Amino acid sequence: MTPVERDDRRRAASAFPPNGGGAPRRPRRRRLSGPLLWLDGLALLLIGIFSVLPLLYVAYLSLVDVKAGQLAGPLVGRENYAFVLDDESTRTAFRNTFYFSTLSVAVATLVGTAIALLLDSRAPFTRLLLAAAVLPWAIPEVVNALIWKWVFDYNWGALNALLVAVGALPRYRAWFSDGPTAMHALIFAYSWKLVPFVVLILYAALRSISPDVVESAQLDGAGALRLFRHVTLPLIVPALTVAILFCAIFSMRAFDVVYLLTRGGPGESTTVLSYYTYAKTFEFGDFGAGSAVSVLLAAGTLVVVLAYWWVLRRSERES
Amino acid sequence: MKPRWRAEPVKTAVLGLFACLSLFYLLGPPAWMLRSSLSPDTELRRVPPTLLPAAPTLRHFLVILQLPGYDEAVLRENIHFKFYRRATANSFVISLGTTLVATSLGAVTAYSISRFLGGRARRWVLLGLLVSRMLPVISVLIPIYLILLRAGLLDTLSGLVLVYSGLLLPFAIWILEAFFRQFPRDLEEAARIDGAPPFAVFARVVVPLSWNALFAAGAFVFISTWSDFIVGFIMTSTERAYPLSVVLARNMSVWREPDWGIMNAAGLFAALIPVALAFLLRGLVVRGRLAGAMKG
Repeated sequence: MTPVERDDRRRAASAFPPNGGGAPRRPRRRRLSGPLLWLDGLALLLIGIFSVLPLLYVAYLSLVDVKAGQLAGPLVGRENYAFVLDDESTRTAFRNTFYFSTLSVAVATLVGTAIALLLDSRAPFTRLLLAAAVLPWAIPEVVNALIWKWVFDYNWGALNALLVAVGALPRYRAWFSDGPTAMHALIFAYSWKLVPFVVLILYAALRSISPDVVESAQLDGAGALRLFRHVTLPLIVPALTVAILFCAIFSMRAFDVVYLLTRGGPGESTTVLSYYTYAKTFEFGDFGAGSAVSVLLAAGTLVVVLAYWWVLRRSERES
Repeated sequence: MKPRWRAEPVKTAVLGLFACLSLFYLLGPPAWMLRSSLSPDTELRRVPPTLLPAAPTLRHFLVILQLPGYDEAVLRENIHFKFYRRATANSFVISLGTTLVATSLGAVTAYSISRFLGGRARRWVLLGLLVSRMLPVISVLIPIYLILLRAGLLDTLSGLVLVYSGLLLPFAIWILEAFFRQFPRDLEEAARIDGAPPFAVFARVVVPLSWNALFAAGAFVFISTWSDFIVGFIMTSTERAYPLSVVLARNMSVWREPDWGIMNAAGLFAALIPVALAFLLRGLVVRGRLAGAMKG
């Protein structure tokens, strides 16, 4: 069959669709077939096995009484949830996650916005700064944890030495020995990793502000502060929202820094939900309770993800 | 025109000061890792520490890579030190395998979604992809562990490639779909009128013009796989499949003081490739959805 013949056949087929007419088919909409279809199937299979099935399965596990290493068990309804929610440790983990995420996002947003504004105001060293702002993102989280563990080290760490040298601290301090200090050290370390997202998203937004708007505001006599408050800030709010939600989603699942710097300690003072899930499941072997916490954590994240989706779609529609 | 610092000296000085502070905040910690990786042990234990090592040395790197002239006594200090070479090879195999699978299948699927799905269906699929990408991995680790256990793929490289591909495919599709949607359709139209079937149009017309986007998506997948810790940590138990991040973490016990020279050298080594890739990508990152999809 020559290409022309095949094309004729296709045109004929679209003129007389197999469903016997009805609404004429739109010309763009073609059928998925051949290798494209198989490869899509393969992709769906992989996503299904490792993303969708696990989600359904973890929901199932949270409703049954399962022993470590087994695949199924008798249904127990809400028992696992009742058990974990009744546990004071779970409530502590929720509180810690909330505190950790809120503060990490706040710090990252403030620092990131400041750096984005610096970049936009064409401060000296802008090119170097832009390159440097990508670095924390590119460094693997384990290495990030290592860097900060070394900086916070009691005996030989750079932070103690620096603070004592400039006179901000009278003597060396153990950063991970009491709860609140350990939590804040963790937040500092983790928010460092989030800063690039904020910088990149906000810098792009700042750059897209038309210079005419700024100029006319300046002609009307607006000073730098008023300009930021009444012109720049309202224009970057959508980008700011995206950045905040994005950072929130990732800080809610932060695991590596917690595992490597504090193991949730001292006591339970830095046990966030992701670490709590890990410890419950893989250290204590309680798959039912671990699954219940997993589902709760996923549900919490889902709310933020949906908000993110909503904001993203709205800004896409506007642009 | 006068140079800027002459025209507005105070403003430039203030901005410059803040820029320096930001640079210190962003570059200081990794620079300290670089400095420490090159310092001999005696200098690492000096109080207060010196800014630069008086006698820089490469011996920590020699040990982790087991290059000629390394100190065997140090290697025996911690059983995990001798896994670095194997783990580096493992990380390469896992990351390259995942990049290949996730980017190629992701490209095909993204293209299919952008061309064969209508508005509403496409929105739902994209939302599904976003959700599966953003939900915490830790909450699906139990089932994935059980699946690999049953399939006999725990502690194998192929098992890890499969898991990472499944986890990162939504991510690759999400990035590439945005790209293909903007791809000019006239080019495809011409090939289609010549009678080329959809796959041929994709393979011969679309792919050759999309290398930039494919490279960007591939680099993201590579960085995400290379940098992951938790999946590799749960799914491996011996040096047969340990990725680099897991060996690094296993060396960093909280219970006793790590060998800081070795740790800093290994950390720097592990960060090298993702950082290099990220700089190749920088121009591509700043745009819209790419920035929103950065993290693995």
